[in-house]
Amino acid sequence: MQKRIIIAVLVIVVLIFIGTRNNEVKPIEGKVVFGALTPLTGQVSVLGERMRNGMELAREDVMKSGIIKDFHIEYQDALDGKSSTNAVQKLIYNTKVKVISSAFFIPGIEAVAPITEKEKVIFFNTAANPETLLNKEYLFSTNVAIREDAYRMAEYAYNTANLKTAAIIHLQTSFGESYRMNFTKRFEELGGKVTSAHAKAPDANDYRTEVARIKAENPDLLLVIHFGSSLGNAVKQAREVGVRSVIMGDYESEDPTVLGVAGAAAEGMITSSSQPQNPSNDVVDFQNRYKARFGEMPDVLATNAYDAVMIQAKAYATCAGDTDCMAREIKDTKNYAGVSGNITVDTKDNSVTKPTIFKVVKDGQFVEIK
Amino acid sequence: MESIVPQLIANSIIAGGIYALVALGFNLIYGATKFFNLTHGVTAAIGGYTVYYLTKKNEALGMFFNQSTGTLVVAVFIGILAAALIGFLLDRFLYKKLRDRKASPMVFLVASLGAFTCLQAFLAILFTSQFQTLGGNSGDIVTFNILGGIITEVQAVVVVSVVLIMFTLGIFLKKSLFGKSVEAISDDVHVAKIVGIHTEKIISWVFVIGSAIAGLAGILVGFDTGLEPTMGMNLLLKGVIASIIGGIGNVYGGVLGAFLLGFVENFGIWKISGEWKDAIAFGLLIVFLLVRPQGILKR
Repeated sequence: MQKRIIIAVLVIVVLIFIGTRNNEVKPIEGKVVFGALTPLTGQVSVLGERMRNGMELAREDVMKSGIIKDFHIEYQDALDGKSSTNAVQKLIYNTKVKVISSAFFIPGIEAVAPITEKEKVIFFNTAANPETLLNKEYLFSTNVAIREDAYRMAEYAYNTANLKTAAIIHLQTSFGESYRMNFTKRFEELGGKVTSAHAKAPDANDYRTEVARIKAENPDLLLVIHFGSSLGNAVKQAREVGVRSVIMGDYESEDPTVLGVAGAAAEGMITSSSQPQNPSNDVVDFQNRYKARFGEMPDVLATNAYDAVMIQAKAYATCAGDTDCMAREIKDTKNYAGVSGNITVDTKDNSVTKPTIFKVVKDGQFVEIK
Repeated sequence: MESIVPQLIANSIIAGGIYALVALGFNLIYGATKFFNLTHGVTAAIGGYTVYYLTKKNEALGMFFNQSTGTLVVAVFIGILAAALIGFLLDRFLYKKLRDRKASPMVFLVASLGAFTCLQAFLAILFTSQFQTLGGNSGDIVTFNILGGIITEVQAVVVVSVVLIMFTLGIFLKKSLFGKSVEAISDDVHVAKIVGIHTEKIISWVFVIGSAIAGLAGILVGFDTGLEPTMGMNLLLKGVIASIIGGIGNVYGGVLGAFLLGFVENFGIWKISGEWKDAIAFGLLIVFLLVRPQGILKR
């Protein structure tokens, strides 16, 4: 009898607990404003434009779904630490946002993360997070964690492509440093050897000395962790001086700007990617709408920015804007079928895992390696 | 392991060539006007962006100017003319007025910084801040292997242009009446006026020639690595360092300084990170300012 009473009490407690967990999405009637940090001027403004395009489509889809009926995104032109800090202070203290949807430049995000954490503002990054941005309460990314991506790249290079030596050119930021560190660790664990690593500033366009040194080393692989025109110039200059190594880049390499600058030199370049292997109807629909509206296919930043807004908006509606509750909701994300890939958040450190595929540049197109 | 030295030598010559093109025009203008013309950098960018407009931005013009090497050369020539025109207009409507008011070199410097900023912003508005390239597909680029160092066709044009312009300009300034007038203005503008030299006309021509050379530098950089509105400041800084260490106001000195800078920069980062390149360049400048402020060759 006593045993039955204990079981009954336990069942009641569990039912009460389940009952109090409010996972139901309740439509928000009032005006809701999210913030966004996007570079809208300067050399990388094209990336900011693509992020904004993705967020705008998400904003419209959120309103169509009815979960937030009057939904706005305030875009701030921000990239580096200074501009990001100014933008975040304006968004939090003037506009009073509780959610910042997207940013992608790690030095800028590192500068503002202490503010968003202190003010309990949910903040999403569309770039891969380095170790410095993991283990935060309110900061997430829709993109795969650098550790994951770098490990997959090292494994692909060593095991699948049979490349045993590698030289690295990487961004002189914690983003680039994290890729260098994690790739080297995994590549050397497997038995490979990293012959040299060269850090370059985000706006670097002259790689001649680095590629001359790499040519002399003649590694099997040249890993380039950079983005946009700088990456394009690195690839172009490497081929011009006669570097014959296989060139590999991270997910940011899958960018028309890179192909525009590097031209035929990019042929054969391998990139990692988290794009869905078998896109669902929703993904295809998103891609078609994006192309019809903006005249090009969505890139990795556009798709991640779209997913960030969608995940945040759902969490916002579920939690009625309570950011502690939102953080818990987002940490519970498992196999979210986003347009940027299947997103799973690791509850331990907020890192994101996504299935990784590899692509190669063939006839000026990124083609999946089967 | 393959030796890196031939490629480092090639890289040094390429970098030195670009710096020399900037230093040639900068030195010429400095020699006649005695102020640091910061707009020289943006004039280079204007040359590059003019060619970009003609060959890439405007579809109809692009179809015409990309037809053959001949039409491309015409586009380059128009780019050089555009840079020369900007140089002329800057002198006519800004620097001449300051000269008329007998403004100090500091006022000239600040005015040129203001003009530089405005023109740079103007380029960004017209062409956006996006990185642009003038070159075609890398697969079509012709490279030359010179004793193990590889240079591209554009880089070869840079080096040949520097040599041609340096000797032409040097001989022209030494032998022609124009050159003697420039020298007279450089020595003492007031005395030059007294002896009947039309100083304003000569200075205008100095700006036209100097800016045209800067325009060519911008165009060749556009073909080699690409264009962005902010490219002018980087080019200018290296050109100024080359001018100072080579001997400011001296045509041959500027070129010598440029190649020395190219070699020191490229060999300096042989064993250390490439990020030290600028530090090495400015370190060399400081050494020269302390040890030999007049530069390698005196004016």
